[in-house]
Amino acid sequence: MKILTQVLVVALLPACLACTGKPEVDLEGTWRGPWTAGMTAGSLEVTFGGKRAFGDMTLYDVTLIATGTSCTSGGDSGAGDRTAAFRQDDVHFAIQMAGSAAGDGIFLFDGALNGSREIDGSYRLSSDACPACTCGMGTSGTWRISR
Amino acid sequence: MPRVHVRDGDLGDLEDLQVTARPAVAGPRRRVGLSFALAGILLVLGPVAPVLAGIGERDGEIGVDYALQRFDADLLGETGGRWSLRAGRHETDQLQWEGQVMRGRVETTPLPGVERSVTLTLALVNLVLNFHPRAEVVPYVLLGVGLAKTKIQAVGLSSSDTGTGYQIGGGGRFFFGRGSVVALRVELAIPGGDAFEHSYFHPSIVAGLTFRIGRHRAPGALPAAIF
Repeated sequence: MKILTQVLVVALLPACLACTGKPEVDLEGTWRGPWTAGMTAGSLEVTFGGKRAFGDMTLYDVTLIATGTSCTSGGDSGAGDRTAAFRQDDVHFAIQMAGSAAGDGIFLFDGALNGSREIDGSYRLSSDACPACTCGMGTSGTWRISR
Repeated sequence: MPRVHVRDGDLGDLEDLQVTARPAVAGPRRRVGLSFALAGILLVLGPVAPVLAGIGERDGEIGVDYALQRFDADLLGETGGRWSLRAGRHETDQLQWEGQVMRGRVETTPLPGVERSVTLTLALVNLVLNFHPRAEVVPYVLLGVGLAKTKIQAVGLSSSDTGTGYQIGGGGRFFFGRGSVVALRVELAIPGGDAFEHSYFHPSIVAGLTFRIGRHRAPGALPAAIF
Protein backbone atom coordinates (compact mmCIF):
# COMPACT_ATOMS: atom_id res chain seq x y z
CA MET A 1 0.00 0.00 0.00
CA LYS A 2 2.86 2.32 0.84
CA ILE A 3 4.53 1.59 -2.48
CA LEU A 4 1.26 2.25 -4.32
CA THR A 5 0.97 5.62 -2.61
CA GLN A 6 4.52 6.52 -3.58
CA VAL A 7 3.86 5.53 -7.20
CA LEU A 8 0.73 7.68 -7.28
CA VAL A 9 2.56 10.67 -5.83
CA VAL A 10 5.35 10.36 -8.39
CA ALA A 11 2.80 10.03 -11.19
CA LEU A 12 0.84 13.08 -10.09
CA LEU A 13 3.87 15.26 -9.52
CA PRO A 14 4.30 16.33 -13.19
CA ALA A 15 0.63 17.28 -13.36
CA CYS A 16 0.99 19.45 -10.27
CA LEU A 17 4.09 21.11 -11.72
CA ALA A 18 2.15 21.86 -14.90
CA CYS A 19 -0.49 23.61 -12.84
CA THR A 20 2.09 25.92 -11.33
CA GLY A 21 3.21 27.19 -14.77
CA LYS A 22 3.25 30.87 -15.51
CA PRO A 23 -0.26 32.22 -15.97
CA GLU A 24 -1.01 33.97 -19.26
CA VAL A 25 -0.66 37.72 -18.97
CA ASP A 26 -2.95 40.07 -20.81
CA LEU A 27 -1.62 43.57 -21.39
CA GLU A 28 -5.01 45.02 -22.19
CA GLY A 29 -5.69 48.13 -20.18
CA THR A 30 -3.91 51.32 -19.20
CA TRP A 31 -0.38 51.35 -17.81
CA ARG A 32 1.38 54.36 -16.32
CA GLY A 33 4.93 55.26 -15.35
CA PRO A 34 7.93 57.48 -15.93
CA TRP A 35 10.10 58.03 -18.99
CA THR A 36 13.55 59.58 -19.03
CA ALA A 37 15.76 60.89 -21.80
CA GLY A 38 19.02 62.04 -20.30
CA MET A 39 18.18 64.82 -17.88
CA THR A 40 14.63 65.12 -19.19
CA ALA A 41 11.84 63.16 -17.60
CA GLY A 42 8.09 62.87 -17.67
CA SER A 43 5.20 60.49 -17.40
CA LEU A 44 3.75 57.97 -19.78
CA GLU A 45 0.27 56.61 -20.10
CA VAL A 46 0.11 53.60 -22.38
CA THR A 47 -3.15 51.87 -23.27
CA PHE A 48 -3.27 48.48 -24.93
CA GLY A 49 -6.52 47.39 -26.57
CA GLY A 50 -7.93 45.45 -29.51
CA LYS A 51 -6.25 42.21 -28.50
CA ARG A 52 -5.63 39.83 -31.41
CA ALA A 53 -3.84 36.51 -31.61
CA PHE A 54 -0.83 36.25 -33.91
CA GLY A 55 0.85 32.88 -33.68
CA ASP A 56 2.42 32.65 -30.25
CA MET A 57 2.25 36.44 -29.93
CA THR A 58 -0.56 38.78 -29.08
CA LEU A 59 -1.04 41.99 -31.00
CA TYR A 60 -2.65 45.08 -29.53
CA ASP A 61 -3.62 48.51 -30.68
CA VAL A 62 -1.67 51.00 -28.62
CA THR A 63 -2.06 54.62 -27.64
CA LEU A 64 0.50 56.65 -25.72
CA ILE A 65 0.38 59.98 -23.94
CA ALA A 66 3.63 61.55 -22.77
CA THR A 67 3.53 64.41 -20.33
CA GLY A 68 6.08 66.26 -18.23
CA THR A 69 7.33 69.60 -17.07
CA SER A 70 9.46 69.83 -20.19
CA CYS A 71 6.46 69.71 -22.50
CA THR A 72 5.92 73.00 -24.26
CA SER A 73 2.29 72.07 -24.81
CA GLY A 74 0.02 69.78 -22.80
CA GLY A 75 1.85 66.66 -23.94
CA ASP A 76 2.62 64.39 -26.85
CA SER A 77 0.32 61.64 -27.97
CA GLY A 78 0.74 58.82 -30.42
CA ALA A 79 -0.95 55.66 -31.55
CA GLY A 80 -0.51 52.53 -33.61
CA ASP A 81 -2.92 49.99 -35.03
CA ARG A 82 -1.82 46.51 -34.01
CA THR A 83 1.70 47.81 -33.51
CA ALA A 84 2.16 46.29 -30.07
CA ALA A 85 3.48 42.74 -29.97
CA PHE A 86 3.66 40.68 -26.81
CA ARG A 87 5.23 37.24 -26.40
CA GLN A 88 6.07 35.67 -23.06
CA ASP A 89 8.07 38.45 -21.36
CA ASP A 90 8.80 40.60 -24.40
CA VAL A 91 6.78 43.69 -25.17
CA HIS A 92 7.50 45.69 -28.31
CA PHE A 93 5.36 48.52 -29.55
CA ALA A 94 5.55 51.35 -32.02
CA ILE A 95 3.61 54.58 -32.22
CA GLN A 96 3.52 57.59 -34.45
CA MET A 97 3.11 60.91 -32.72
CA ALA A 98 -0.01 62.83 -33.64
CA GLY A 99 0.55 65.68 -36.06
CA SER A 100 3.59 64.03 -37.62
CA ALA A 101 4.06 63.90 -41.35
CA ALA A 102 4.19 60.45 -42.98
CA GLY A 103 7.43 58.81 -41.96
CA ASP A 104 8.13 61.19 -39.07
CA GLY A 105 7.59 60.91 -35.34
CA ILE A 106 7.83 57.12 -35.07
CA PHE A 107 9.04 55.73 -31.76
CA LEU A 108 9.87 52.09 -31.02
CA PHE A 109 9.49 50.90 -27.43
CA ASP A 110 11.14 47.60 -26.42
CA GLY A 111 10.48 46.25 -22.98
CA ALA A 112 10.36 43.22 -20.76
CA LEU A 113 7.58 42.21 -18.46
CA ASN A 114 8.69 42.29 -14.85
CA GLY A 115 6.22 40.12 -13.01
CA SER A 116 2.77 40.65 -14.40
CA ARG A 117 2.25 44.28 -13.46
CA GLU A 118 5.36 46.14 -14.66
CA ILE A 119 7.17 46.61 -17.94
CA ASP A 120 10.69 48.09 -18.14
CA GLY A 121 12.44 49.05 -21.32
CA SER A 122 14.00 51.55 -23.61
CA TYR A 123 12.76 53.54 -26.55
CA ARG A 124 14.22 55.13 -29.63
CA LEU A 125 13.10 57.41 -32.39
CA SER A 126 13.17 55.23 -35.51
CA SER A 127 12.34 57.98 -37.96
CA ASP A 128 14.62 60.85 -38.88
CA ALA A 129 12.92 63.41 -36.70
CA CYS A 130 9.83 64.27 -34.71
CA PRO A 131 8.92 67.89 -35.48
CA ALA A 132 5.56 67.42 -33.74
CA CYS A 133 7.11 66.36 -30.42
CA THR A 134 6.98 68.93 -27.64
CA CYS A 135 8.16 67.04 -24.55
CA GLY A 136 11.82 66.51 -25.46
CA MET A 137 11.77 62.75 -25.53
CA GLY A 138 14.73 63.01 -27.86
CA THR A 139 16.01 60.13 -29.93
CA SER A 140 16.25 57.56 -27.14
CA GLY A 141 15.47 56.97 -23.50
CA THR A 142 14.07 54.57 -20.96
CA TRP A 143 10.59 53.87 -19.66
CA ARG A 144 8.84 51.90 -16.98
CA ILE A 145 5.10 51.43 -16.75
CA SER A 146 2.92 49.50 -14.38
CA ARG A 147 -0.73 48.94 -13.58
CA MET B 1 -3.74 -13.28 -106.15
CA PRO B 2 -0.33 -11.97 -105.48
CA ARG B 3 0.71 -14.83 -103.17
CA VAL B 4 -0.09 -17.71 -105.59
CA HIS B 5 2.46 -19.06 -108.02
CA VAL B 6 1.02 -21.44 -110.56
CA ARG B 7 2.95 -23.51 -113.00
CA ASP B 8 1.59 -23.53 -116.57
CA GLY B 9 -0.68 -26.48 -117.36
CA ASP B 10 -0.62 -28.06 -113.89
CA LEU B 11 -4.08 -27.07 -112.80
CA GLY B 12 -6.18 -27.22 -115.97
CA ASP B 13 -8.15 -24.21 -116.92
CA LEU B 14 -6.81 -21.33 -115.03
CA GLU B 15 -7.46 -18.62 -117.48
CA ASP B 16 -8.70 -16.29 -114.86
CA LEU B 17 -5.60 -16.71 -112.76
CA GLN B 18 -2.66 -15.00 -114.29
CA VAL B 19 0.78 -16.09 -113.26
CA THR B 20 2.69 -13.33 -111.60
CA ALA B 21 6.18 -12.68 -112.79
CA ARG B 22 7.69 -12.39 -109.28
CA PRO B 23 6.48 -13.53 -105.91
CA ALA B 24 5.48 -10.64 -103.73
CA VAL B 25 6.51 -12.32 -100.51
CA ALA B 26 9.82 -11.25 -99.07
CA GLY B 27 12.23 -13.96 -98.11
CA PRO B 28 13.37 -14.60 -94.51
CA ARG B 29 16.51 -12.54 -94.98
CA ARG B 30 14.54 -9.57 -96.29
CA ARG B 31 12.05 -9.91 -93.38
CA VAL B 32 14.82 -9.72 -90.78
CA GLY B 33 16.28 -6.69 -92.47
CA LEU B 34 12.92 -5.03 -92.55
CA SER B 35 12.43 -5.69 -88.82
CA PHE B 36 15.77 -4.14 -88.00
CA ALA B 37 14.96 -1.13 -90.12
CA LEU B 38 11.57 -0.80 -88.45
CA ALA B 39 13.10 -1.10 -84.98
CA GLY B 40 15.67 1.51 -85.87
CA ILE B 41 13.03 3.88 -87.12
CA LEU B 42 11.03 3.38 -83.94
CA LEU B 43 14.08 3.99 -81.79
CA VAL B 44 14.83 7.18 -83.64
CA LEU B 45 11.29 8.38 -83.76
CA GLY B 46 10.39 7.18 -80.27
CA PRO B 47 11.12 10.48 -78.56
CA VAL B 48 9.00 12.32 -81.11
CA ALA B 49 6.33 9.71 -81.57
CA PRO B 50 2.78 10.81 -82.20
CA VAL B 51 1.34 12.02 -78.91
CA LEU B 52 -1.89 13.27 -77.59
CA ALA B 53 -2.22 16.04 -75.06
CA GLY B 54 -3.34 14.96 -71.64
CA ILE B 55 -1.58 12.92 -69.08
CA GLY B 56 -1.88 9.39 -67.83
CA GLU B 57 -0.32 6.21 -66.54
CA ARG B 58 3.47 6.25 -66.15
CA ASP B 59 3.72 9.89 -67.17
CA GLY B 60 5.82 12.19 -65.08
CA GLU B 61 4.84 15.75 -64.40
CA ILE B 62 6.69 18.81 -63.25
CA GLY B 63 5.40 22.30 -62.78
CA VAL B 64 5.65 25.68 -61.16
CA ASP B 65 2.83 27.88 -60.00
CA TYR B 66 1.93 31.06 -58.18
CA ALA B 67 -0.94 31.53 -55.78
CA LEU B 68 -2.78 34.35 -54.18
CA GLN B 69 -3.19 33.15 -50.64
CA ARG B 70 -5.41 34.47 -47.90
CA PHE B 71 -3.50 33.85 -44.71
CA ASP B 72 -5.41 32.60 -41.70
CA ALA B 73 -7.24 35.27 -39.71
CA ASP B 74 -4.97 34.53 -36.74
CA LEU B 75 -1.92 35.04 -38.97
CA LEU B 76 -2.74 38.58 -40.11
CA GLY B 77 -5.72 37.62 -42.29
CA GLU B 78 -4.13 39.38 -45.25
CA THR B 79 -3.60 38.23 -48.83
CA GLY B 80 -0.09 37.39 -49.94
CA GLY B 81 1.73 35.53 -52.65
CA ARG B 82 2.99 31.98 -52.74
CA TRP B 83 5.28 30.11 -55.14
CA SER B 84 5.42 26.38 -55.46
CA LEU B 85 7.25 23.66 -57.32
CA ARG B 86 5.69 20.30 -58.05
CA ALA B 87 6.93 17.02 -59.45
CA GLY B 88 5.12 13.75 -59.62
CA ARG B 89 4.34 10.52 -61.36
CA HIS B 90 1.06 9.08 -62.55
CA GLU B 91 0.72 5.53 -61.29
CA THR B 92 -2.49 5.05 -63.27
CA ASP B 93 -4.57 7.36 -65.42
CA GLN B 94 -6.42 8.35 -62.27
CA LEU B 95 -3.90 8.17 -59.43
CA GLN B 96 -0.80 10.26 -59.11
CA TRP B 97 1.81 10.90 -56.42
CA GLU B 98 3.16 14.39 -56.31
CA GLY B 99 5.76 16.18 -54.24
CA GLN B 100 5.23 19.86 -53.70
CA VAL B 101 7.30 22.55 -52.05
CA MET B 102 5.69 25.92 -51.48
CA ARG B 103 6.64 29.16 -49.84
CA GLY B 104 4.31 32.02 -49.19
CA ARG B 105 4.71 35.36 -47.48
CA VAL B 106 2.56 38.25 -46.46
CA GLU B 107 3.77 41.49 -44.97
CA THR B 108 2.07 44.59 -43.71
CA THR B 109 3.68 47.87 -42.73
CA PRO B 110 1.34 49.75 -40.40
CA LEU B 111 4.00 52.39 -39.80
CA PRO B 112 7.17 53.09 -41.78
CA GLY B 113 9.84 50.71 -40.55
CA VAL B 114 7.35 48.73 -38.46
CA GLU B 115 6.45 45.42 -40.05
CA ARG B 116 4.33 42.40 -39.41
CA SER B 117 4.95 39.37 -41.58
CA VAL B 118 4.16 35.71 -41.95
CA THR B 119 6.30 33.31 -43.96
CA LEU B 120 4.91 29.87 -44.59
CA THR B 121 6.98 27.03 -46.05
CA LEU B 122 5.42 23.67 -46.79
CA ALA B 123 6.83 20.41 -48.13
CA LEU B 124 4.00 18.07 -49.01
CA VAL B 125 3.31 14.75 -50.64
CA ASN B 126 0.05 14.96 -52.55
CA LEU B 127 -2.19 12.12 -53.62
CA VAL B 128 -3.86 13.38 -56.78
CA LEU B 129 -7.02 11.85 -58.17
CA ASN B 130 -7.47 12.71 -61.84
CA PHE B 131 -11.04 12.17 -62.92
CA HIS B 132 -12.54 12.18 -66.41
CA PRO B 133 -9.12 12.80 -67.99
CA ARG B 134 -9.44 13.99 -71.56
CA ALA B 135 -7.00 14.98 -74.26
CA GLU B 136 -6.97 18.65 -73.46
CA VAL B 137 -8.46 18.91 -69.97
CA VAL B 138 -7.51 16.81 -66.96
CA PRO B 139 -9.45 17.76 -63.80
CA TYR B 140 -8.26 16.58 -60.43
CA VAL B 141 -8.65 16.73 -56.70
CA LEU B 142 -5.77 16.32 -54.30
CA LEU B 143 -4.96 15.65 -50.69
CA GLY B 144 -1.53 16.36 -49.28
CA VAL B 145 0.36 15.90 -46.05
CA GLY B 146 3.86 16.85 -44.95
CA LEU B 147 5.69 19.49 -42.96
CA ALA B 148 4.88 23.15 -42.45
CA LYS B 149 7.21 25.81 -41.11
CA THR B 150 5.53 28.99 -39.95
CA LYS B 151 7.60 32.06 -39.21
CA ILE B 152 6.07 35.25 -37.87
CA GLN B 153 7.54 38.66 -37.19
CA ALA B 154 5.97 41.68 -35.57
CA VAL B 155 7.50 44.93 -34.37
CA GLY B 156 10.92 43.37 -33.92
CA LEU B 157 9.75 40.13 -32.33
CA SER B 158 9.97 36.90 -34.28
CA SER B 159 8.91 33.30 -33.76
CA SER B 160 9.07 30.14 -35.78
CA ASP B 161 7.48 26.74 -35.45
CA THR B 162 7.40 23.57 -37.52
CA GLY B 163 4.52 21.13 -37.48
CA THR B 164 2.34 18.98 -39.64
CA GLY B 165 1.37 20.47 -42.98
CA TYR B 166 -1.59 19.48 -45.07
CA GLN B 167 -3.55 20.51 -48.09
CA ILE B 168 -6.81 19.84 -49.86
CA GLY B 169 -7.55 21.17 -53.30
CA GLY B 170 -8.87 20.66 -56.77
CA GLY B 171 -8.46 22.08 -60.22
CA GLY B 172 -7.66 21.25 -63.78
CA ARG B 173 -4.88 21.05 -66.32
CA PHE B 174 -5.67 22.72 -69.63
CA PHE B 175 -3.26 21.57 -72.33
CA PHE B 176 -2.26 24.00 -75.05
CA GLY B 177 -3.53 22.06 -78.05
CA ARG B 178 -3.76 18.38 -78.93
CA GLY B 179 -0.06 17.77 -79.21
CA SER B 180 1.10 19.86 -76.32
CA VAL B 181 3.09 18.64 -73.34
CA VAL B 182 2.47 21.94 -71.56
CA ALA B 183 -0.68 22.79 -69.70
CA LEU B 184 -2.06 25.66 -67.71
CA ARG B 185 -2.81 24.39 -64.23
CA VAL B 186 -5.52 26.18 -62.30
CA GLU B 187 -6.37 25.15 -58.76
CA LEU B 188 -8.29 26.10 -55.68
CA ALA B 189 -6.55 24.83 -52.58
CA ILE B 190 -6.51 25.18 -48.83
CA PRO B 191 -3.03 24.49 -47.52
CA GLY B 192 -2.60 24.52 -43.79
CA GLY B 193 -0.23 23.78 -41.01
CA ASP B 194 0.09 23.27 -37.30
CA ALA B 195 2.15 25.83 -35.41
CA PHE B 196 2.16 27.49 -32.03
CA GLU B 197 -0.33 24.89 -30.77
CA HIS B 198 -2.89 25.94 -33.37
CA SER B 199 -3.96 24.89 -36.85
CA TYR B 200 -3.96 27.52 -39.56
CA PHE B 201 -5.62 27.40 -42.97
CA HIS B 202 -4.85 29.57 -45.97
CA PRO B 203 -7.33 29.45 -48.89
CA SER B 204 -5.54 29.97 -52.18
CA ILE B 205 -6.20 30.40 -55.87
CA VAL B 206 -3.38 28.96 -57.94
CA ALA B 207 -2.24 29.28 -61.56
CA GLY B 208 0.85 27.84 -63.16
CA LEU B 209 2.41 25.80 -65.89
CA THR B 210 2.83 22.06 -65.79
CA PHE B 211 4.86 19.88 -68.11
CA ARG B 212 4.25 16.24 -68.94
CA ILE B 213 7.30 14.02 -68.94
CA GLY B 214 6.87 10.72 -70.71
CA ARG B 215 5.34 9.00 -73.68
CA HIS B 216 1.66 9.60 -73.58
CA ARG B 217 0.92 8.07 -77.00
CA ALA B 218 -2.21 8.10 -79.02
CA PRO B 219 -2.45 6.78 -82.58
CA GLY B 220 -3.28 9.30 -85.23
CA ALA B 221 -2.23 12.30 -83.25
CA LEU B 222 0.22 14.81 -84.59
CA PRO B 223 3.87 14.45 -83.62
CA ALA B 224 5.09 16.64 -80.86
CA ALA B 225 8.24 17.01 -78.88
CA ILE B 226 8.37 15.15 -75.62
CA PHE B 227 10.73 15.54 -72.75
